[in-house]
Amino acid sequence: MDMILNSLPTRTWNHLGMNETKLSVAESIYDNHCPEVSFDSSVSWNPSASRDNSLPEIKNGMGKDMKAITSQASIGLAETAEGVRMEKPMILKWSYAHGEKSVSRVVLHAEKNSVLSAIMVLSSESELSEGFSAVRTEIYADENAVVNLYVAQLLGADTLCFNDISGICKDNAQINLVKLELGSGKLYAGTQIDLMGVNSSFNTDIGYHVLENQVLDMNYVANHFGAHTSSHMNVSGTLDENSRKIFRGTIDFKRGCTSSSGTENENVLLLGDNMVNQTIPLILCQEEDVEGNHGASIGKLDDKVLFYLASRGFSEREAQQLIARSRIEAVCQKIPDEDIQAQIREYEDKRGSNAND
Amino acid sequence: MKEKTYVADINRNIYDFKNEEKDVYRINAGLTPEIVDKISAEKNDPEWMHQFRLKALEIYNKTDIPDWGPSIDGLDMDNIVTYVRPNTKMSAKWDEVPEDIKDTFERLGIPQAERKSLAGVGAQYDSELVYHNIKDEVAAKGVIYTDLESAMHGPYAKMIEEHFMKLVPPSDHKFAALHGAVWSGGSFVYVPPGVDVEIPLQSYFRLNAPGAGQFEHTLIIVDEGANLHFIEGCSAPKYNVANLHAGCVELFVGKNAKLRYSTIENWSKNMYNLNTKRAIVEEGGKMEWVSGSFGSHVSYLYPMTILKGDNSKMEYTGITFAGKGQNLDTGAKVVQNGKHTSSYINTKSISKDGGISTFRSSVVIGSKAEKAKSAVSCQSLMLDAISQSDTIPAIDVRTGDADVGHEAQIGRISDEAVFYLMSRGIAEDEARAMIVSGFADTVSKELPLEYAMEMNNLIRLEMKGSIG
Amino acid sequence: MSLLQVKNINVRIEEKDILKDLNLEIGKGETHVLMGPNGAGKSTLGYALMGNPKYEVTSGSIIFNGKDITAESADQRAKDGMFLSFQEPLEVPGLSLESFIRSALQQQTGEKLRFWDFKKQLQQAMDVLQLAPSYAGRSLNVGFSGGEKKKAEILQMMLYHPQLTILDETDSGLDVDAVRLVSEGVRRYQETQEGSLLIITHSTRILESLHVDYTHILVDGHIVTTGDGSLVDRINREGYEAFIK
Repeated sequence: MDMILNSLPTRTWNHLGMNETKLSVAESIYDNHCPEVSFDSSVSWNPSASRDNSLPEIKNGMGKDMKAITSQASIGLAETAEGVRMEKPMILKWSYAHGEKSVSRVVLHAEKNSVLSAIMVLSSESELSEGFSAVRTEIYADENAVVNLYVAQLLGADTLCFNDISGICKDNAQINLVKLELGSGKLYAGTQIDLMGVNSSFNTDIGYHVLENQVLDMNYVANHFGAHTSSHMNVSGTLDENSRKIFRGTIDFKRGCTSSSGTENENVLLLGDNMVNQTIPLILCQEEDVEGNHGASIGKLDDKVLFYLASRGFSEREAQQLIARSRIEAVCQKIPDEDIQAQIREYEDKRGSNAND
Repeated sequence: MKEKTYVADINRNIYDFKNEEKDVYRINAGLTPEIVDKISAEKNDPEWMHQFRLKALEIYNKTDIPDWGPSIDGLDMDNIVTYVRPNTKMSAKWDEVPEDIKDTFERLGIPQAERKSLAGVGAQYDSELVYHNIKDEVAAKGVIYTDLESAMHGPYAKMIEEHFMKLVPPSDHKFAALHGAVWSGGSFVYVPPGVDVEIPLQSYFRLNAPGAGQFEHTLIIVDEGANLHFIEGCSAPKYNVANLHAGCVELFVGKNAKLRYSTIENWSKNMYNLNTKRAIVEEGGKMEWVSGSFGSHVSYLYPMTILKGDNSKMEYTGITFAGKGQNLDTGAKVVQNGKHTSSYINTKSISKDGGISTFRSSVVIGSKAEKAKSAVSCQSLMLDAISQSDTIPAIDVRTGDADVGHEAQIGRISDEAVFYLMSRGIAEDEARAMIVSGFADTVSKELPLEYAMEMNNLIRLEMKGSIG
Repeated sequence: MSLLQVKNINVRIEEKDILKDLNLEIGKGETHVLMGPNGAGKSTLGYALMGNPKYEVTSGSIIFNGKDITAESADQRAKDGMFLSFQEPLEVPGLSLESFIRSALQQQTGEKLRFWDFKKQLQQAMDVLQLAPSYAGRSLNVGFSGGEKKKAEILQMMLYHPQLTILDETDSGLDVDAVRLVSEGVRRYQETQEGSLLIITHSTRILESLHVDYTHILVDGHIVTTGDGSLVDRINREGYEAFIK
């Protein structure tokens, strides 16, 4: 099946190859994979929910072909009732068998004044496993609700991974997303958040380290519809030799989103040579009373950084590894579960030593 | 009495007068090989150019219009009269230019500008170059500034054949192909090695016929160690039918040479400005672009620079002001292939009265461009909530040894700034105009004084009545 | 034998000559102070000694522990036992102060450290500087005040056991209490580790409680005067006027 994924909200020169990603997958129907979930009484979990009609249909993050491929999957529905504030995040674990090809859907629904926190960990039988993982997550944050979603993608090196997140915020609602993109040979991630309500916000921190021959393809869109909405995207990562990455980031100020603000930042550390780093940070604006900023900085370690670390005994290569690890660690520390943090660190250690072999 | 420069008393009206279209030779609308043959024959093209045009036409007919950027639905190519030529021969003496055309340029202040501060002037009226002049002392240094058509038959024929549409091949996009097929008029400049042309050369394009196209070709070769500043101005009167400008600018900057190319574009607001500009820079050379886009209904304009040689540099400074009924898609492109190359792109855009301005750029750093540097900075100002301003910057880096930075801001005029100026007794609309002029300062300070003043006047005109 | 011998070095940065035929010798356990007006080249000397590649030593040599290190990289000089405290040290989100110091120590010694031994030493040194224990887990210098950053540098000096420490304006921008704590850290380094010091400063507050063996006045890239600790007091009273030109 030929697929078009991660299309930019508006097109630019085709020869740049950034407008969308085209790729083929072998089949169009896959098994369903239901994650292993641990949670306490503050949240309800239904592993095979029917589509709840009280929740409006929202556009998914990676485009309609991803929607089609996941439409058969049963929906795992997590809900927090009005006013319930989860203390301990629920944990959703996907453990893929070697060669497994499957799809999953999750809906996170935080009712009024509630807090829903979820950690998703995707891992394979081994760091070198092959397979196909497609997970589509939809987030509904009702009035004054907060949804915190943490995703650690630790799949095997020969896995093809699609990770789709979309969400909608009502008045004063907040979606916070922390993502670590580490594993899988080819990873496609698309996120689209609609800030419908007044004073709603979307914040995301993304960390990645793309190793040799890995492909990371991202598309993040914040649509500002409501007044006083805000979005922040912080993306920080490292590219190794012969790696490939594209980050598409869009802040879209729709007409009427007065007094809104959006920022996006990408910081890319280049190690080695012959990588492909594509960055396309868009601001679309139809409103006067807004503030939008984006920045990107792409390059080697700064000479000042290198000299400081050298003065403490680090060679250039050691300094690079130290900083690359720190970038992942800075995002890892935002995940509120020490066991999962440890799992991430262990995964990175293994992956690092495999890569160095 | 204090002498006024020709731009000091400029106003919108001077761009809007029209001359009666008389005795002109027109070719039937629509584009066929027969038409291209006819144009070629009229132009007395050498055979290679005749064949070039026919090939370009083939490409044109095979190529789709872009699937990105502003809509050009209002442009009906079948009804575009592609070739209009006033009944005059190229002249080197101002007195010999026909009265009505001369009147046009007098009103635009071209000869005054020449007298004042320019090394040479070329003026194009519709599809033909009507006036070309270069100061004797500049000519004495071996600088060639002439029309491209006659240059094809002169001592530089070979040089032109070697360079013409080599940087912008007709296969680049549909309108480059159109240009290749029907190009007409334009300038050829050659600056010999080591020659420093201290004062700018200028060309001025003016489109007069309704529903017409202007397809001038500018070919500039700045040889090793030479230095040139070239200024281009464009305007057209307003008609109710769409006009098309599909010009092409090709700039060759030699080793250690420097070229500055400045444009103030103020086409009337029925113009589809689908212009292609490109420069290639050899080792140690430098390309500077200064670009102001004020006119046109729709613009696609992204001067591109190829930094081929090691240590070559480019700087792009641009401003775009999109008012009512305008959709201006502008920006810059750079490809860095040489080592230690650097690029700096700094743009401002302003959207007002429902105008749409889009900043679009691409920075491509090739895998061999060790120690390449690039910085892009773009700022956009929204003057009301019915306008639109988009920023679409693409970055593609393929070497680990690059240093690339990008920053963009979008926002409005700060209330505090307006209040501050008003507290000093300045009326609100004046205060806002002052702030917008200040915003455009990075561009105006790069322009020669007369042009900077013209630009500020244009901004003031655009800002008038922006309150209520 | 001297620990450091700087022989006739000329140092250039970005085509500009900063240090001219400069000579300096520092013995084991000695404390030298380098003073001079702004722009004299004081920090340049610190960077050149530590081996910042931007500072080109065009002639002359630097001998450290009997070895010519003029062409050595900075990380090798650190491994040799040289330490430079920075005016504006690096900030690294995601890298804790503790794990940074630990991995730096491992880089310098080439040995794995026993976690609890290290933890204990770290704690003791932090106590001297009155840095709250929570700082160990905080990201390196991120959100630290100016004084805390300087303390984090001195903390590293105390733990790395360098043979030569160059303090570059470590006292500038510090309040009275912080200066006192920083000089206490330095005093312990002098006494318990018998470390040599080159203190670059243009104020004298850090020197009040420290023993000083030599004072050098640097003007326009040359050391114009060398004296003992009392020279510091003279500069305090009279300024640099008398030494210029």
